[in-house]
Amino acid sequence: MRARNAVWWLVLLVATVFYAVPMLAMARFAFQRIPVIKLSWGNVFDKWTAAPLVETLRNPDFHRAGLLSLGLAVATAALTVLLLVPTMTFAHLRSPRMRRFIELSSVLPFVVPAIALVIGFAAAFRDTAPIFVRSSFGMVPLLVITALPFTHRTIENGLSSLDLRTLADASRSLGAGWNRTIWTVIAPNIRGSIATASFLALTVVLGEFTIASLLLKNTLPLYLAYAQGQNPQGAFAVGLSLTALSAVFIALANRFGGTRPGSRQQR
Amino acid sequence: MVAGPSKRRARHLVFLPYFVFLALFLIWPATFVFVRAFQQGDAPRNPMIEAMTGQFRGAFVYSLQISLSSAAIGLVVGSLVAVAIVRLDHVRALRSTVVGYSSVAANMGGIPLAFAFIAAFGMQGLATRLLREVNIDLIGWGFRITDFWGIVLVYLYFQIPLMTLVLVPALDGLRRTWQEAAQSLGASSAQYWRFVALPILTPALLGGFLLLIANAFSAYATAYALSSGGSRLVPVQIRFFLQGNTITGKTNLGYAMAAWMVIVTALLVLGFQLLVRRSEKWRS
Amino acid sequence: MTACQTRNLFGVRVNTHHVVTDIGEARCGRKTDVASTDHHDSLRSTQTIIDQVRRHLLILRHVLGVFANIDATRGYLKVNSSALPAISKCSRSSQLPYSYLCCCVQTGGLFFLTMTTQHITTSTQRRRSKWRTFAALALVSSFALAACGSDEEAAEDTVAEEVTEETVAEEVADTCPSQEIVDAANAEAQVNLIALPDNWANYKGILASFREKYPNIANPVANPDASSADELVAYETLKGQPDQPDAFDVSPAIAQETASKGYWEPYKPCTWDEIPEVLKDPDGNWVAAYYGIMAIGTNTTVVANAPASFADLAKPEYKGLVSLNGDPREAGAAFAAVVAASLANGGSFDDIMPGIQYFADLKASGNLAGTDVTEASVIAGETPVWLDWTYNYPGLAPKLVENGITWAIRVPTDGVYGGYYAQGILKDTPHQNAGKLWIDHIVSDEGALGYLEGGAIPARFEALVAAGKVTEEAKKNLPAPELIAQIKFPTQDQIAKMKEDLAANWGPMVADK
Repeated sequence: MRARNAVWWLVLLVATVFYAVPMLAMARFAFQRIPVIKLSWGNVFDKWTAAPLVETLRNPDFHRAGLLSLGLAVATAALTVLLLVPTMTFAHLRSPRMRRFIELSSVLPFVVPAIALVIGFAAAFRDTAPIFVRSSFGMVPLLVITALPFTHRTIENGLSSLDLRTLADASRSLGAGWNRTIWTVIAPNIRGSIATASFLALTVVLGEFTIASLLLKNTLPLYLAYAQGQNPQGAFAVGLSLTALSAVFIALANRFGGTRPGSRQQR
Repeated sequence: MVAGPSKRRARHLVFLPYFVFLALFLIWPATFVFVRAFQQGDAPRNPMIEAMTGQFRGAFVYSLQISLSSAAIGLVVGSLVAVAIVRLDHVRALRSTVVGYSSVAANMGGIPLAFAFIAAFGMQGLATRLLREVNIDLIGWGFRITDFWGIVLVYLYFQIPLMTLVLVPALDGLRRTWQEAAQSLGASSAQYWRFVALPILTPALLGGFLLLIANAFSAYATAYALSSGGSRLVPVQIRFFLQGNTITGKTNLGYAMAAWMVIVTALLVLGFQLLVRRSEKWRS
Repeated sequence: MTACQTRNLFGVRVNTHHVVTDIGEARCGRKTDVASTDHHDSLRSTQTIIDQVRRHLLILRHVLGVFANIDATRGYLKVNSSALPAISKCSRSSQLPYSYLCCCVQTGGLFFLTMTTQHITTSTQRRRSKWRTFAALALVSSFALAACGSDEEAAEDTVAEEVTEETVAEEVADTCPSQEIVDAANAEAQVNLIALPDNWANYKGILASFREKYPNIANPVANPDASSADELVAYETLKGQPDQPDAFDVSPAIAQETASKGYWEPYKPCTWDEIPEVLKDPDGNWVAAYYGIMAIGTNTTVVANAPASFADLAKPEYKGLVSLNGDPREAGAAFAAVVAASLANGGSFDDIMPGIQYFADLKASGNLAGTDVTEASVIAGETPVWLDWTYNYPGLAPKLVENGITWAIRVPTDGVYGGYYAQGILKDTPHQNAGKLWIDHIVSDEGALGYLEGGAIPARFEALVAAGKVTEEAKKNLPAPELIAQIKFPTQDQIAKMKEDLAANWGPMVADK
């Protein structure tokens, strides 16, 4: 059994190396002020500095962009959960056909490229409801749609691992309305999935560039792209930190969320 | 409990907010693209036709080649990683770490990712330099990060985690008891995989493969940041028409290419959905 | 079902029937209307329905108010007075059929919303409420149509404001810019700029000097990294919004497109007469406040021998080391590099093909590398030899020094090509007068000196030199005077033709190989 596992450990090792090498190279570029051509075994430990990171973190433009992105992430996560949890609960309970339909529709965001989506969005809403184009938070529906493939899958996993019908019936028979059932009975049971979906929304907001650049909203990815032209080392340092932070958050949400599929099977 | 027709309609109304949301913010903007794609203006040919000829057809072919290659390799490697973390479930925190990083990596792209690979495998890359120390000269062998295989390598960074994320829940559905039952009935490990596990996993595998192709096909920021190699890809060409500094007055051509992108991806989705439906028949 | 009551989509309680389940008597949980547990008609339940409809309409009105930019309290009045005109506005809209579609979608959506607010279970209640539903629908539909029509009203209002402002201001007055314009601009207190990176031709310094001159006027820059086409899209997308860009800084090609779309607001700055003919639009649509020359930059830490001409770039020692600043089909600087190469190889402003052929050969020989030139790639040493405007190099200098990199800039001896960017103000924007002050500033002495510091050649360079305002210190970042003298600019038609040839041939000859 040990020998068998060795193969899988090897697979993981290769994957880890593949994931780590580009990030490490970027980190070295960001924090060490020596061009590769001048790098030798002698000066490997020289000229490491956190100054680019500090400089960027101190920049007030960065604060503005960061706050906007954070706000967008919260709004996106909230709207996603609000939209998906009731819909998918009802789909699971009432109509398997609808469940399949919703699964199919969650892949649709991949079908429409972001650049086409945003230009269509601007043209469509410019005359009818300009608040979407004007307000910084007008991007939120587009972000929810961009994140849909990932968040849908997460919540689907969470709901599948529950015995939904029993929970819902029990709650309803005790006199709770649907509202209460969904938000006070079912949602806490999939809180791990909801937490993961929220962090996925965060990663999407942190990585979403096209929509923000065309709608001229100064979000964090846009600021980083611009800073990459002015202060590349700082921009990449910050980008790396954000990546690391997001990964940690999602890992924690997964670990302590408590809805690992398979952990509640009674069958 | 038997519900009357009005009750059934009322029951389905709860799905309305979701579909209205999708229709309003996804379908409706998409129709704008199609409307503009068919407007000819004063161009000699209808943009939809022109977008599929000459150098633009080459762009579609190239895009599909990259998508298929990265999806195929991502399918294999991603599945292996998924199986690995499910097999090694007993190791504390391994699964959540890998899934956590996969979630982040699957959404990565654009300038940071492109630059990370340039910093690692470019002409002056760190890895290139280190490999040269052990006498492996990537640049001498003709490897360029901006060539076909270089772009595929960069795409793999988000294709592999995506496949992992898709497959892990499916693997969880494979109960250990089934493997033991198969063994007790005399099946070898290979037979178990071929006759039991693979049929069960096929929907997830196919669905994941489709997702990977669509993902790679519409990837835009990464290709753009890798520039000259990436300029042969369709999303970047759309950018030339819709967002560039030089070519003007050809926006309808850009919309036409976007419309074709939607058509191609929609066909992929439909085709694979049919396949998935076929392979899932055993469930019913 | 097993509950006594359910909640509809808006969380308002609606009575259903009372059922005893198998776990015992069902508790209904709420005190209200427990008595009406039977589903016969009663005056009480009809009254409840009327109350519900009223409540739903109130909620809908508030929701609509948010989405349709109508003040919720005024909206009801607007429905009564403008419902009918609004309907006709909807159909007469210039964006037909899109606006029509919007009205239909909104009305349809509201229809469904209203339907779902009634969770009716008995046939008698259903019959009665049907009429109420239709009444609600009629009210609500006219609301939707008013919503569709309202934005055009709002847009018309802002346009009316702009027109009156403009007739007050004058283009050229006694002092320049006239006191009226300055006062009006101070009242506006802001000018929306776009796509002006700090490191590009020292815009950081020029923005700062503008703020010094006019301390009351803010000059925020949106999306500094935007391309010229992005600027156009932004102008169109943000039409009628307070953050719509007031002034552009765009490539000649996009300047032409802006003119053909009629977006420029003609304005001749005070120093109009001192600007050379080639650097301004005859109708006053735009000026070219600065220009630069295409130059070859070399990271001498990586490559010791800096090439000095296009012929040098083709030498085998530069294999895999030469990069363009983007794709010429899209980036202005790369396009200019191709034109410069064309001039160096026997082409002219009417013929860009030698330039395309030159780069095709460069790619075939392996000299042309694929990586995009960014500040990051330059510092990483990934793009040791690259082509860019002379005014983009000074901005790089501090970072290069920090990383221990030495560099050299050479204007190619065989192909001297100067390129400009066009600036001007736009029609119907929120801050017309502040925009005029901005244009005046960039061609003024302070603006010109700012551009000089960034290594760009200001439009009024000759006039300034003649007036003795240019010190040696200021000239340090400029290319040599004899090179500046060689610069000629192509006409708009020539640029248009070159673009066509490039778009048709760059892909098949260079990029796709």
